[in-house]
Amino acid sequence: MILTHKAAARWLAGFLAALVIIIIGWHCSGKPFVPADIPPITRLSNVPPPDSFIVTKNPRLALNWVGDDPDGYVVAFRYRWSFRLNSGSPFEYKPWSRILNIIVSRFALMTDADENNITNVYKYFATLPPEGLNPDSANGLDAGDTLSIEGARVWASNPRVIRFPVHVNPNSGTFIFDSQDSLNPHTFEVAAIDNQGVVGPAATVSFGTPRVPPPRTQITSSPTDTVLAIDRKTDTFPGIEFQFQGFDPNSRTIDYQWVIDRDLWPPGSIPWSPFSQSTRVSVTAADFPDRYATKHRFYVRGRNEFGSIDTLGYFITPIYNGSTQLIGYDTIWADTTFNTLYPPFLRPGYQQRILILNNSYDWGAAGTPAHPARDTLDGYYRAMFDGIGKNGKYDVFDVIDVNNGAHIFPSLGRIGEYSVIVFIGDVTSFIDDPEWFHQLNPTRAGRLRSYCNVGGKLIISGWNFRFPLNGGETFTHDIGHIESLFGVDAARGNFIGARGDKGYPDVVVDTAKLDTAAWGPGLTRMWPGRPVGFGEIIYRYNARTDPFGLFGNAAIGVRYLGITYDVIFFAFPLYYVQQPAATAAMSKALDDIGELNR
Amino acid sequence: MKRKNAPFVALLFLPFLVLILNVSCQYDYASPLPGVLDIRLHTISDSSRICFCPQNNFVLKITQVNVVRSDLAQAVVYGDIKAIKRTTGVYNTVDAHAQDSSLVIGQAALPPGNYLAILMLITPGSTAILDGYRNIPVNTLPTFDPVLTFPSIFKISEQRTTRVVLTINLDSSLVKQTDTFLFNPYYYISSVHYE
Repeated sequence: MILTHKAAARWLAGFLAALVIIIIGWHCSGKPFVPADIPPITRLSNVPPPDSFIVTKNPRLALNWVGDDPDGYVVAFRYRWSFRLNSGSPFEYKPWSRILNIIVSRFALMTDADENNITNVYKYFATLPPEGLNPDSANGLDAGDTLSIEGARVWASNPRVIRFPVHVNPNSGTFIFDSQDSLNPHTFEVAAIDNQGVVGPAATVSFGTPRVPPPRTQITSSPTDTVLAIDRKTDTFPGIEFQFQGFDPNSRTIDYQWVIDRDLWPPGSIPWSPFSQSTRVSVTAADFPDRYATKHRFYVRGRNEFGSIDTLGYFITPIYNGSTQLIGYDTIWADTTFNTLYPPFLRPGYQQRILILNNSYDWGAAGTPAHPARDTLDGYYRAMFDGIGKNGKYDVFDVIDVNNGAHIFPSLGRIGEYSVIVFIGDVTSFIDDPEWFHQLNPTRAGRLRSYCNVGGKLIISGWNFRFPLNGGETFTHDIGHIESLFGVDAARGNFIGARGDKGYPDVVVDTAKLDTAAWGPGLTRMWPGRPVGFGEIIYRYNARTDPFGLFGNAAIGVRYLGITYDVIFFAFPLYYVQQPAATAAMSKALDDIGELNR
Repeated sequence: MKRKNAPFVALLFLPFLVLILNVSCQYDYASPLPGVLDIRLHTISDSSRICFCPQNNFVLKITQVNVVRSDLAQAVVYGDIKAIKRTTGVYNTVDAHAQDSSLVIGQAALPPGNYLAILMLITPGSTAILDGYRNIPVNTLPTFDPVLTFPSIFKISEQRTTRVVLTINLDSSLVKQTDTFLFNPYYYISSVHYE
């Protein structure tokens, strides 16, 4: 029985032990105790006391904040602010913006991830390998691109394309607050988001921002003379350039937009350009409401970083005598008038006209075949062009100094009426002492250059064009497409003709027109050279004597058929070569530039 | 009963054991022999603009040629099949050999397989010479990428030659400007021939 009792006691103890284990196990198998998440804390710094209200100097305000989470860590901040359109409008809130609490490759990262997903986005960046973001993604962020991370969009607040970013780190921001009214109250709220996606109470600050005046804008550079304009930019026509400048002491940036002939466009559809920070612009005829109009007005206006646009178009500035005495006021305009000409030869329906521009010396009534009068030379070329079949399609313009007659160099408007300019510089007063008033001075050369730049076609015939007519080396290089090889050939009467290439006939000097007593059997002081760029040799120098072999194969005629303009340069005077060959050479030149059978 | 032939039996089993060990050590494939890739340059040019004449010259300096296999592994292609390293090759694109696709710019023995592209690192000549006397400067855009990628799927077969012709269209690549050319390469693989 004793054994029986002991056994019963053991069984009872065993049963109780099992019961205790079951009971304990029963309690342990319940829900685990999870403490509630403690929301993160956010504090704004550099702000006035909560019960005060400040007014800033301008709509821009920099704010700083910090965040902390007692039971985790802060993954992001979200912020917004209130505004109203005017004092009679209700307050509205900007949508929340979210910035990750991390800097990756110097970027402050914004995201549109909500509180449920923002921790995943944060963890992606927080667990990058030691080398950081891959270069492609970093370059993309730096260029202002957006990355897709964990189904959310992420972009940098401070890419290189933004000069003054809102954020350069997650704990501060420089904001521009809406300031349409004279005084604009705002309340800024920022709240931290912890790793559980819990948003803490927002830290707030209230303040007012003033409305700031728009920037002042003025034009600093514009065309002063009539310019030829076409409706597209080319290699040689970069457009008509304007420069301008804005002033705004409140703004770190000013950007500009412009329009031509603002008041001639239909109201409500004025084609202002997109805003740009560039202070210069090149316009073409495509920017005009009427591309054939000759008078235009250029308007520019500035916008500061607060969005305030200069719509007045002028500002008044005081004028001081010395440093203190006010003597008046000046009005600075943000618009200016300029004059253009759309070349008639580029207009639809244009009928071919050729201008024979005789820039030669006039020996007058005492003229001889070697020293012809202007009329004689005109007659020579008239016969040449009549022979080519251009009768009635050309005009002759004699360049005459003001002191000697009515003509001067033709205006740009006059030049623009012709599809071909034939510039004649065959006859000079004395080869070593050029007549000064027939110089191809920079103004005149500039007109021919402008004509070429918009698509003109130029044929030049001249005796040592570069030197006695003062066609500067730049002009002959850039437009004539020939440059010096050995300088001029000073051997007396050494040029006796030229060998043609590219289909041009050989030419021989016409000894009947030479002053052989003075000049010898040929022409002196010719200027052979070599072609420049796409210039092609059409004539090679034929020297009477060339003991050193300097000029034998040098270019004395160059053809340039470019992408915007064409030039045929006879670097010898066609008047002094035998006329049939000269006429054939001119015919070939017109053919090369597409004007022979037009 | 005592067995006297046990060592003999063991010797009989020894070859069998060696055979089993050899079978277990044997790779499950055999290494194939290489094929040959032969890369040639072909140039297209309007003869009225830039003809294939001895007086004309526009060179491309090729400093590296790589070929990309389907697993994205790259192999270097040298100047010819016997070369031991790549040297910069200077090729006149208006040479008569470039006109008829016989200008060899690279050869290499490569593992058989499928290939995706040929990469070529080039530098265009600074000038183009026309008619023997016209030196036309050649410019490139700031965004010019010197690595030309010729995408095309082709195959290298064992002990066979694959001839690939790279074509550069000079009419489109050399854009005429006022006094210069702009080099904006237009190129492609025009043919793949298996021999």
